[in-house]
Amino acid sequence: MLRIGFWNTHRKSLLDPITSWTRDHELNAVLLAESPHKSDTLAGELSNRLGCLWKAPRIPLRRFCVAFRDPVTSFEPESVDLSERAPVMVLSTDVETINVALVHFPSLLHRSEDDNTLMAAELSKRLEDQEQKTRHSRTMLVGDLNLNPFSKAVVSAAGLHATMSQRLLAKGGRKVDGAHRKMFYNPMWRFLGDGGESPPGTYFHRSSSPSALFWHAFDQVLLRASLVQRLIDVKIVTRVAAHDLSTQLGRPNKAKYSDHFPIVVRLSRPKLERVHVHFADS
Amino acid sequence: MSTSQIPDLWSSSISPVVATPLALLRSQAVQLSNHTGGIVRADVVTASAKGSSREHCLVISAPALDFKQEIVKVVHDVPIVYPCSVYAEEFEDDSREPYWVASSPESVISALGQVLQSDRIVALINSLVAVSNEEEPTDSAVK
Repeated sequence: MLRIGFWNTHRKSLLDPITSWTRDHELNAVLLAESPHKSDTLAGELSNRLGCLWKAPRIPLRRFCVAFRDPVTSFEPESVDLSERAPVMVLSTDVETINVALVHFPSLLHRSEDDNTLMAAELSKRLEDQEQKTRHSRTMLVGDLNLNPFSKAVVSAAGLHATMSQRLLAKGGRKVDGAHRKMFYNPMWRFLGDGGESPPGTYFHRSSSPSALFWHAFDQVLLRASLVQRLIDVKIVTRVAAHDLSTQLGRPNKAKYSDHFPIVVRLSRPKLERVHVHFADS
Repeated sequence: MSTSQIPDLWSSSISPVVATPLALLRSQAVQLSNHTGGIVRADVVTASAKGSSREHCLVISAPALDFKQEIVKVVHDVPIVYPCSVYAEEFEDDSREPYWVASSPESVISALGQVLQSDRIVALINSLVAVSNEEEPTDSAVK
């Protein structure tokens, strides 16, 4: 099983809760945005604290902090955009490689949603290039999009083309204006609002504007069809060991921890295809 | 006032030879290979942008690592290439648009110099050279 965790740590160190989160969820890859740590530092700390070998990418990432361990053998960027906010990485295990777009789009406090739409479209193009290069579509996107699952940039075929239902991905995509466009499954739709065990989103923002949403699911995981069948679950994490990451009102405790809750996605190992050996007639 | 006394009012910045932003980027792309012995390279990727504008992106790559990264982008109209906008992390601040407006080749060179000599780019290229050298030599890196 592959367990990947993402957390925007709000420029805080948070080494203790990160360690607890990693241990509790048995993470194989820890992906942080807005972390003050370098990947090497995080890998060293996790190795010391958890007693197993954690590694960092050899090629430095400026906006992200990444550490990984067995069964992940390497996790390196291959295609980095101008802003370095959406590097496309390749995660390798002993049996496969997965394309992973690691994303932290700008906050809507500083940019318009249109700006993020442009970045989403550019990322979508780079992912298709990457899939052509690697000749497979085992591709996922994880990160803080600063966009909700229902944002045009996330839903539109001109953007990330991510839909709320796995069944819509039966053919991997759909025809739009005559051209086949691959789709993503976005499991974060089910976290919008009340009704489950999870909070109504991953980020809370109080606003006096007439159309305030308050809760947002900015932190997301998107999966191509070939990974959807391996999806075990996605969780929003509100507590790790002794660390309650939420306030009494159930919102992210940004004073003590972060303004975002971490998320964890679990994928099963790939089913190895049966190899038929044909012996030549002798 | 006699004809000979009429002053030349045109700017001294106007000359019969003016490099385009694309030529300036291509020149820098060629020079990177000289610095790194071909281990890290640069290419200029051109695309049409909104309306009649063109985007030229300087992309560095490390073939041994299968790695590429966009580091600076110049956008201009066609056929009017100046002023152009130079986009890079080095120009990002609190303002809404992270770009430098250049009205001459000298201004583009100044902007590119800030980017290409920045700590960010120097560290990135040095890292790519170091990590590439740890890899098995490939045909592309042996030249």
